[in-house]
Amino acid sequence: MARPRSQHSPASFASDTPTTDAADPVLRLAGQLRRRYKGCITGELILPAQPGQYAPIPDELDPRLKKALEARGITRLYTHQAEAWQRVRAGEHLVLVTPTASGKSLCFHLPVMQAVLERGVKALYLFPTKALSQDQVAEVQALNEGGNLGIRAFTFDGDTPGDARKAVRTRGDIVVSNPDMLHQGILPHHTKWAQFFENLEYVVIDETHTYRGVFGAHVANLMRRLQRVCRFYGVRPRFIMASATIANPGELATRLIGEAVSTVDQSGAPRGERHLLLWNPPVINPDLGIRASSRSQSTRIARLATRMGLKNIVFARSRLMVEVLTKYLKDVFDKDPRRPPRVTAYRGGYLPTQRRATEKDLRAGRVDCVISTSALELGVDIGSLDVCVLNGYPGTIAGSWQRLGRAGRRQRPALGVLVAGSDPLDQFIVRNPEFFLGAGPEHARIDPDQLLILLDHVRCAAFELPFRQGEHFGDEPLEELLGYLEEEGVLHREGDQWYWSADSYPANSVSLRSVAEDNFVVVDTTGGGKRIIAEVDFSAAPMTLYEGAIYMVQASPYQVERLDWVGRKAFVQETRVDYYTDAIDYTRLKILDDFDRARHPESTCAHGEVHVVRRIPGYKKIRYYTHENIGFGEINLPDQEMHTTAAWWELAPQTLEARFDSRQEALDGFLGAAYAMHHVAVLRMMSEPRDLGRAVGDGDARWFATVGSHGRGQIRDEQGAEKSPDAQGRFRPAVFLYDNFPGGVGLSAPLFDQRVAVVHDALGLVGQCECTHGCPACIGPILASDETRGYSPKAAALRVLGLFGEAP
Amino acid sequence: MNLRQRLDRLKGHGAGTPAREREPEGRASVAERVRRLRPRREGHRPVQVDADQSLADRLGAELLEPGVLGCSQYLPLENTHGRFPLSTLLGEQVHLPEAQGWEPHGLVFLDTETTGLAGGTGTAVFMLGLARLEGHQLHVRQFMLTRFAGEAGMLRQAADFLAGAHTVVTYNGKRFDLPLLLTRVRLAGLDDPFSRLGHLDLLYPVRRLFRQRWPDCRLITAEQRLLGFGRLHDLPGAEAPLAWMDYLRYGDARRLPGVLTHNRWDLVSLAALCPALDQAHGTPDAFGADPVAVAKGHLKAGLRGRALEVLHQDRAALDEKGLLLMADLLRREGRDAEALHLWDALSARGCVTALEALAKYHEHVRRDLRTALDCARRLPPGEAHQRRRERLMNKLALRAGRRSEDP
Repeated sequence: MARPRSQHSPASFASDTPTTDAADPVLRLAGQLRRRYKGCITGELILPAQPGQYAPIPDELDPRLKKALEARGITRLYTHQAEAWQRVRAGEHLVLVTPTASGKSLCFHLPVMQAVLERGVKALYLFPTKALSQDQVAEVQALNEGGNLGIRAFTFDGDTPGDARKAVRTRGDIVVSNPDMLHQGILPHHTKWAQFFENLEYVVIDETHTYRGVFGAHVANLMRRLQRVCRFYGVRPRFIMASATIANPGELATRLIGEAVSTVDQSGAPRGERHLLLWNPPVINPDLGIRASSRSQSTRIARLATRMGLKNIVFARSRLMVEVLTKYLKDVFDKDPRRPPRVTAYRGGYLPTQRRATEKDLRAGRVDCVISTSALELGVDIGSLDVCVLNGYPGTIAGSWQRLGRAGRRQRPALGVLVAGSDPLDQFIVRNPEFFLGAGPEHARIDPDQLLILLDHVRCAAFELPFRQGEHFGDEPLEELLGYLEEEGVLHREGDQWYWSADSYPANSVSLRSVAEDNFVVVDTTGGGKRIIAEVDFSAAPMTLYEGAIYMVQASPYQVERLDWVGRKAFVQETRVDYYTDAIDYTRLKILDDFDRARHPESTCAHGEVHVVRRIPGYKKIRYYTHENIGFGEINLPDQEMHTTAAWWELAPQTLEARFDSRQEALDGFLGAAYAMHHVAVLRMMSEPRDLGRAVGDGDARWFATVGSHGRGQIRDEQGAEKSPDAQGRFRPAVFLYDNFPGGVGLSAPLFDQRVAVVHDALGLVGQCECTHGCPACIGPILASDETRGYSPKAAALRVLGLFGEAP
Repeated sequence: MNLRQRLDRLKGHGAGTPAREREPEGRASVAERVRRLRPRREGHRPVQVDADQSLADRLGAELLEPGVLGCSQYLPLENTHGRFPLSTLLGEQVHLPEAQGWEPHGLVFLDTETTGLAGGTGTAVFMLGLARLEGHQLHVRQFMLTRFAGEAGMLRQAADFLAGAHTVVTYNGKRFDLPLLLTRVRLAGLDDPFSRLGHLDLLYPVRRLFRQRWPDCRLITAEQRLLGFGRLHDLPGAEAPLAWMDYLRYGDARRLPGVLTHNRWDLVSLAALCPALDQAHGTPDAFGADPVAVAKGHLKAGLRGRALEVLHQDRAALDEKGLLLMADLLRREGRDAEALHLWDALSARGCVTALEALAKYHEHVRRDLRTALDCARRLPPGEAHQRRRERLMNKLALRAGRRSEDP
């Protein structure tokens, strides 16, 4: 079989012609890839080198700090560091948006350490992970020693031993912690930290872009609580935030702290030339649209780079894939056990000591190739590398750039390669290079006034300090929320104050990473023990923890033996099976209220509030590799009900009649369109696929559609019984994309705003797919025997999308 | 749609939602109900003082200031609490290591009743019980809130009562009462009257004496087993928060007298426990306490002589570990003969540690290698033991060699 060539000519977004410095190995590798794998490269981008822009060290900088900088060889600042200094000194809240390895942390260390030396003030640093906290403490120590500053920086997290905590609270100048610890350990005990809060002048929030979606809404409320406690101690700290590149860092930062924030986003750090290639593995079965695996391509590129002596990193999307890639590359390069390894893996789940050792080896350049999950995406210091391979699209443009930023030294060229996997998102990205290369990164969205999240934090805040009449906390009517909590019996109102009056510690039952309070724990009972091995969100539990389900932890399969729904526990046993399980999801929606509606002659798009009922009637057992269905199981779970928000698309009844031969055909078209729209919407919303639900059904919840075991669309009624599409009196199918959290986290309004783009992108995804009747990369899996239908579900989906996209 | 309806809708996810969260249909809106509640409550303001006063009358207390009741009782020291007359408190406390520099009139016994056990800033102290010696009486002084807003006033009153005291005596106050009071003082924006005082937390000596002997070391257990005091119709401490919340929410004061009594018993028990614990440290076995633990307590306080005294006196009750400790202390005191005697007796019973101690003693102190080797040979097989034997044999051989070389 001839290997079909990519239909797309590589889109070139080069703002400069490629440097042809054959002496540079990175450029040699880039050239070689371009020549030898032309058909795989669907797009490329070359960013020219940028010289450094410098500013003098500020005169007012404490001489001891100057000395500390000199000890590290720093005699001048980058322009963004100098600008940050000025703005912070002027008392502004600040967000810094600069690339990896641009000297970002000095932007906050300098003004903070200066203030500690001048006035003995305190600072709180918040990092999303513990590993990053340790890096920062190490950096402060390094400056400390260089200038003999005597500044005390301590981490305060779950690992801080009990007897050291008091010293941290009373003696720390800089306390480095994380949001969860602030939430559960610091704020509810703020009186123990009185000394610290009374002198708190700076709050540093690094990796601000990670605080989006549900987590971001929680952290925004956490900041409201922090500011409230600060007011109690009579201080008003300045916030210095740092973010990776996203479309709206200033807006996100402002939403997070509820005050105006100025942005510094012009990096003065020098940068070498950067080459980026988008890579689609070659098609090996054109009928089914099957491509070579991304794994094979990524290892090939990493092999070439390593052979040329280039330091490289491969990012994989799962821990399992990290292990697989590591094995393949070690088989090539680390065959001789007597020699130090050239290839190493890095991921969550390894012991901290092991990870620290790997980081050290990377910084020292002792390792040539590292394979990692997103664990290395955040600012862990591993020095700079030459080549970065993304094995699969990381899910967001911002995340991709952050990982790609791992390669790139100050004076030398760097190469990044994004290798697409076979799923729709990846295929969309590599087939639409302009989407990735041309468009900016995503917006990070948060909705701090999501009612349930807000209520949880009002609860926590009331525990920390009594609320007074006239106080503000969020944009919902506070007194009504307090009244609600009063009725719940946790608050007691006395005159103009509300006091906490329950014997409980509310922060312990509020997880910053979910909406509903009830997480399920997964208990391993193998060998008679009882060991908690994982925690699962309430909303994800019915789909993953039903009895009989295969639940994976670090690629080891466990079988759910018993689900204690009321006690929120799933008891599992280790198992050895050659299949995984996939829950059958019957979701139907009822439209309660539409907020806004866009009518076109053929179609209508709207968004509003919906009632979602999800029933999980059973599950399929699917064998690994062959993906054949080897059995069914029944699931006996209560229906899941949820009120949330959604955007939906419908066709006018006469259009439906006129443009489709049968209701069955229309139904298949809607299901295919929904599949494609779901994937591109996830991309547009900068969210995870599970954050957004999809469904096809009647807006009155009278029926819903699923893809049946024969690959055909089916209509089922409220009881889940199969019905004929033609037997329905009213046939008005709609594609629903809904916010998959109780109450919604604000995804549906922006989805409605971007309705045109979503349909356009979905059309592109399906239209450009090389399959004939549909495949998992466009409209979802279909059966090989499509001729039997007499029509192509792909064509039906394209017709639906085309009608959705027809503007008046 | 009002906020309550929105919340109810959102919260009604799935069958896992407890029934109480589901409100009946057709309820009035939050705003409406808040309106309905608020005027009445504000109208109650002046009445509240009357309510405070009538509660004070009912409890035999006085209304000290708005929101704060005070209640005093004077107990003559002739009274006994279980087996112990309160007057024993006046005696010299020589055995309790924590009671060094005992000055009974500077002690303040302290116990709090709180709105919960969760800790953190959301747990309030609604009753603060204090007791001090005044002349030949124990003055039990209890403060109680009739509402949250009285807290600062109560803490100020308590600070006045503490004037001139030097040590607070509590039960589990290190972990619970005092950190909590510190939090309350800070939240109220007051100076901290507690931290300047010394602190004797009786939980620790009780644990030392009885951890091995009692099922638990709760105050109530110590009362029954050490003081011989049994409470009649006691309101369990865990119910105190509810009793107070009932008053706060519904004006139901029925259980408040019970809380006062409970708290008073706690305070008097603290006072009686001091001399009881002192005596139990003097003669542990007689009190069913663990003499070895007592000896270790003395050692920790640097009182080796006293530790030895206790062991001597309860020698009959000592187990192997106790005897070994005793031998070790005797040896350190230079009473080698007595130590050897103990080790001999123990090793005759097959105690390996004693045998080892003998081997070491003969080797390093007496330099009697043969006896040392005799002891070592009786040690069970094992690598370390084998090394000891080999070393001793080598030394003996060396010594023999040196002798033979001597002209």
